[in-house]
Amino acid sequence: MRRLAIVVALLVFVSTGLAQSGRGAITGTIVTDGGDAVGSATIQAKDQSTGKVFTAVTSKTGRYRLADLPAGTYEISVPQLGLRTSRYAKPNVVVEAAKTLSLDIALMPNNFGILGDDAGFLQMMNKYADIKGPAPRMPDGHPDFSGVWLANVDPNPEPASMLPWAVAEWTRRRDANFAGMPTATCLPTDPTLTLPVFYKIIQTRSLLVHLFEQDPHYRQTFLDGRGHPKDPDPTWMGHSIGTWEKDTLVIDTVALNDKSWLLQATWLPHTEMLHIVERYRRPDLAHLNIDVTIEDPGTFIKPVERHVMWQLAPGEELMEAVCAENNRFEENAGLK
Amino acid sequence: MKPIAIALVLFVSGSGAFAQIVGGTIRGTVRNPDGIVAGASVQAKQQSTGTTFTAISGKSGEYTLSPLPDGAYEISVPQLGITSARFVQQDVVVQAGKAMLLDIALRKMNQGIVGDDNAYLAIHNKYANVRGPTPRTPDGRPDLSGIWNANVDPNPVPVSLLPWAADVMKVRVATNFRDQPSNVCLPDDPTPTLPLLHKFVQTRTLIVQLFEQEPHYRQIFLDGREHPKDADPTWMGHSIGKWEKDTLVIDTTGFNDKTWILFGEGLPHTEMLHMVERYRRPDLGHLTIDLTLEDPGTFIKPIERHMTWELAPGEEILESICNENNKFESNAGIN
Repeated sequence: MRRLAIVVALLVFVSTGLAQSGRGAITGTIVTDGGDAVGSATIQAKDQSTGKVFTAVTSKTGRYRLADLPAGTYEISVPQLGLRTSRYAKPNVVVEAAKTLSLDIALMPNNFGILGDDAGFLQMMNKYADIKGPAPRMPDGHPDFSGVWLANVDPNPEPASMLPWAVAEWTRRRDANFAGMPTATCLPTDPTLTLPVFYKIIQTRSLLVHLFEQDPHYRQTFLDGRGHPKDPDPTWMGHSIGTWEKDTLVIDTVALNDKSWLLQATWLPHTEMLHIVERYRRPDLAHLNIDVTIEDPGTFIKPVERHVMWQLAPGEELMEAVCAENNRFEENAGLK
Repeated sequence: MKPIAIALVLFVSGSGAFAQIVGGTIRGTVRNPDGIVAGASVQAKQQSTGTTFTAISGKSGEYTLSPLPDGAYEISVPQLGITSARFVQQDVVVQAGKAMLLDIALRKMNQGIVGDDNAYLAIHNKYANVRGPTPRTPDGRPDLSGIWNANVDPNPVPVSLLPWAADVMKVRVATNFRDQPSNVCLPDDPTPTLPLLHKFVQTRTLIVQLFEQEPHYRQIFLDGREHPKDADPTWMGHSIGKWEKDTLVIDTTGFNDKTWILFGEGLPHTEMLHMVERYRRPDLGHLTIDLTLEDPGTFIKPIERHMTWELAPGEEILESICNENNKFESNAGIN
């Protein structure tokens, strides 16, 4: 008992000490519009003066705690969760030193009237909240990213700065209600792998494979030290190689064709100069942090960055998804 | 000069002694109209017993089937990719202690489509004579990982179909297999019989097979799980693998009844389809697959196929997007 008491006293002292050096906290609960707790949700506090970002994850009961925030003014955001809820954003939240601010959040529904905008995604997030443990490692000591992951979008996506042709093209897409999107005709998905869907990762010493339910259903990242090919044919997914920087896997992708539409809900155009760099970290058993940088001097005035966090969903499995099975071309054209 | 001469003499005398004790030999060269064919599996099937013996042609197209027990044999070479037709010759008589010369000339099979060029054979030739021991995973199992150039059975036994299935086959043949699912970008045959490149990625708990046809991957669970109790039927089914010494036995159920199965045959089946594959990697360069297909709703007796695949370590599977070449819209006058 005595030993426990000492530890508790030390903890109090340390946290008080931090607070005294000019730090505060925000705590609260995230629920749906119906009042159900939302677990595994990422909540982000962005310091409005410095741009520095702090992140926390909710427990099964929806509780979160953003601790050790330097005193200042923050924008608080929660990403769109699957297709079920809308993004939440609240600017000008003032954090004072040594004080804990209470902020309860009710997410607004985001009903597209399509498959997937039900509560299934949120139930999955709750089911796998509170999984604890260290990041697993490969026999060679590198982190092992293997597992079935429930992906999420960036809580606070910065709008892309595009060249005039790209703005015009994007406006055309938006005005057409994104009708020509490749996935609408069973063509491949976004090569940035940032859709809020399941991804399965299989990692060996020399290869990382992503499997997913969208075409083309897999992406290979070579970890065997090879470089990019000298004169590759451009493809939808490009050519990906990975190198380790300590516990971070840096995946570099080039040789992309210009046909894919990039980034969930924005669907940006791009050229074959597209260059995607993803930095993967697994800080603990249940989470994968991915920082994505998208460069394309033919499209973007400055690189587009996205920061996403994926949640481990160890009891789930990918389902066979055959897009062409639901292909309506023949029917729509009156052939059947 | 002298050491080489001695080695040759030893080799000749050794092989003679071996032949006298155990049986006879068939040897020769495999060629097609363009030249030698390396990496072809040549099968000798003893006509009285059905026992099969297999040899792989080397870089000069040479093969040796030895030792073979006395008897009459059916010699066959499978269709290679879609470039050459199956070779078969019956009543080749083998006598103990004798070497029979049988040069094999493969006929070209020009379908006038993408892939019936010599690229497939060029890959065969490039990776013939890959030698080495079976690679193993840290836990001692054979590691089946690699890029494999698949092959069909050199000697496929004709299937026995129930009347409804025989009727379906008549229609499929009469319509020149026009309605096969892969023609409209639906998934291909779930059996390991397409003579194309397959990539295997093996971990302790999982094998993933990647390929260029829809649905582009197949998972085989090695973690001890069983088949689900009430699975939704799918194109590829649900596959679990167990090790029997160095053989991986893969059991697949949970199929839908939409696929047309076995390359070159396009057979119908029911959801009762049950596939068992036995994979062995006897050396670095080869994978042998014994396939059994059971479906009491379709087949009078189980179908068996025996394939030998070759490692193609310098190749990689290509991104292949069937729908990119989808002609529905243009055929329908929409675009």
